[in-house]
Amino acid sequence: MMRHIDKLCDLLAIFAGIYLVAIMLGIVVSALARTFYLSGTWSSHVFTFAEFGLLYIVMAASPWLVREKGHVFIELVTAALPRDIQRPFSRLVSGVCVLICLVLVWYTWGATVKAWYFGDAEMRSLDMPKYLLLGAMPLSFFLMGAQFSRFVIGSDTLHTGEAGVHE
Amino acid sequence: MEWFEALFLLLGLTLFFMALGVPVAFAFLAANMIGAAYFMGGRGDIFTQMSRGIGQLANNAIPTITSFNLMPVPMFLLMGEIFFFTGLANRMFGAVDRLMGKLPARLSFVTVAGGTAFATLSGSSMGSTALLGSLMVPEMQKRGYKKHMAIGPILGTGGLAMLIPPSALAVLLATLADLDIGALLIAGILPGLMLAVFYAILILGMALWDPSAAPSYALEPTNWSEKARLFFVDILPMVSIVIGVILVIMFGVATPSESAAFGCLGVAILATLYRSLTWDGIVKSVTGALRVTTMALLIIFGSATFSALLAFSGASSGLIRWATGFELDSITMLLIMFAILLVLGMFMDQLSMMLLTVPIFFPLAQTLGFDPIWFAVIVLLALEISFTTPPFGLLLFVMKGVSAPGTKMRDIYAAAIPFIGCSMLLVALLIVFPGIATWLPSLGR
Repeated sequence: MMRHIDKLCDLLAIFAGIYLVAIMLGIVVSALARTFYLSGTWSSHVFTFAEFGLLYIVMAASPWLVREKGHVFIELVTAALPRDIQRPFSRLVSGVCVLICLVLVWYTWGATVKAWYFGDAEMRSLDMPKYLLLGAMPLSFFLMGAQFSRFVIGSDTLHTGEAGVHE
Repeated sequence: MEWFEALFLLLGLTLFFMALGVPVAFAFLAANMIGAAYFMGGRGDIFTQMSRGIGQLANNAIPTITSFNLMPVPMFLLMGEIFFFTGLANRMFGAVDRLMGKLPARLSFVTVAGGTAFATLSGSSMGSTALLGSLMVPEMQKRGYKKHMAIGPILGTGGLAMLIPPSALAVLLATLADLDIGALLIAGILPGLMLAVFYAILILGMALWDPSAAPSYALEPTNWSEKARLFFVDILPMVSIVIGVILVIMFGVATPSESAAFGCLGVAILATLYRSLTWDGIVKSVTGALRVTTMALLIIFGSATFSALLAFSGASSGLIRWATGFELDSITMLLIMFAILLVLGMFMDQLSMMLLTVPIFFPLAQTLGFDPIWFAVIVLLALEISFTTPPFGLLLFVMKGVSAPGTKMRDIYAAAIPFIGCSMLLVALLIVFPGIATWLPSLGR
């Protein structure tokens, strides 16, 4: 199960990386088109694609980054604890992260369904159904929760026991 | 709930989760979920309140994260990563090293120049300190440099990195404080150059005062034609891209996002011309940019409702009323805010410090009649100084971790203090002559 989740997280991270490069190229093409008076409605859509892309990139790459311990955290309490308590405490903190993710999965899913039911849209040059934006959140937080759970039950823990900011 | 109770609840919960070791983004999310349910959840049972509050939080996050103003952050990061993973940075570093010739304390100067470029483009002064500490300190110690000449310049580069564009953290601060991004990037140039000059004078002064602190050593001689080649081939093209990005923003030819995207393309084309753009380099560059972008934007996602909650609960206005009620003069208020940032820097990263303080400090600064761009430059400086201020500044501990065995904390403190002095001198000059920060942006307008 965890292997499949890892693969999905990797694929989403690759998607996020490609999207990042596509945004860069899209902005360049759009700015060049404006300079040479070739811009049209499509170029404003490029900006909308780039703007919404930021949300998709964050949501797609975050679960992978949880696994990589890439989300910045501060070690004060864990580092101050005696060695034999550090690991159980770290697992407890990871458990809190799983809980935060699960609460977010539940309520962002509710917000997604609500947006779909009422037909809400995010108004930009290209109106985007809001459920397509909100929908990225429950999936991403579910995967983030799954990745945090490896630090609760797996052999590895989130914290190192060394004081400081980890990024 | 009274404003101070709301403030205590919101700040207290965030700090509590952070102190536990919950990743910063999730600490903000947890505190904001509770705050949103309480303040924005309306009437009803706890589940109804949670549903409304967290629904509001998710909906608020969309316009915050999908703002085009944030676009320069991933673009500048990508530009920096391509710069480093294609070897262009090393090329420039090597050329600067050779061009310095027999200048006293040349390795200290090379550290400041290279470190500023790295920290500016990487957006992480901690990453920069760790890299330079492991790269340059052993080399300088091998050459007989004393500890303060090796460690001090590395700690000093962070301050320059925050100011000299393209600074990803300046873009984040401008976005969070709702300032003109281009104006803040441009505003950092003059103070950044001044700080660089202060550092240069300091290093030269220390080397002349005690020549044994940075002994000169035999170098392979470089003739003038070789020097010209190094400058025109290995330095000028790279520097031109950065200057081009700045000028395009300054004269309003393109938005900061567009100029940053062009900067990325420019560096990639340059790497292609130097035949150093490899698939491995591209993958590493995109991965590196993705890591920092995702980390930073998820924190912003998590804190999207934070300033709204502070305003909604009356905490922001209550605090401003309370703070201005003492009728202290504006400079004293500025110094108090400065001191708070210094304290926060002892146990918190720069983005978290910004997210916690911007919703409070910037409205307060507006009430006090400060120019917001000038105030933002001071905040950027405070953020960096706080990182290197003894006894608990976080960069000091990073430095300790990568320094040679036997390096004591007091060696690191002694090395940091003269460079902190330079930054403090700059802050004092900015207070006396605000034009240092506001003059260049006014030309652009």
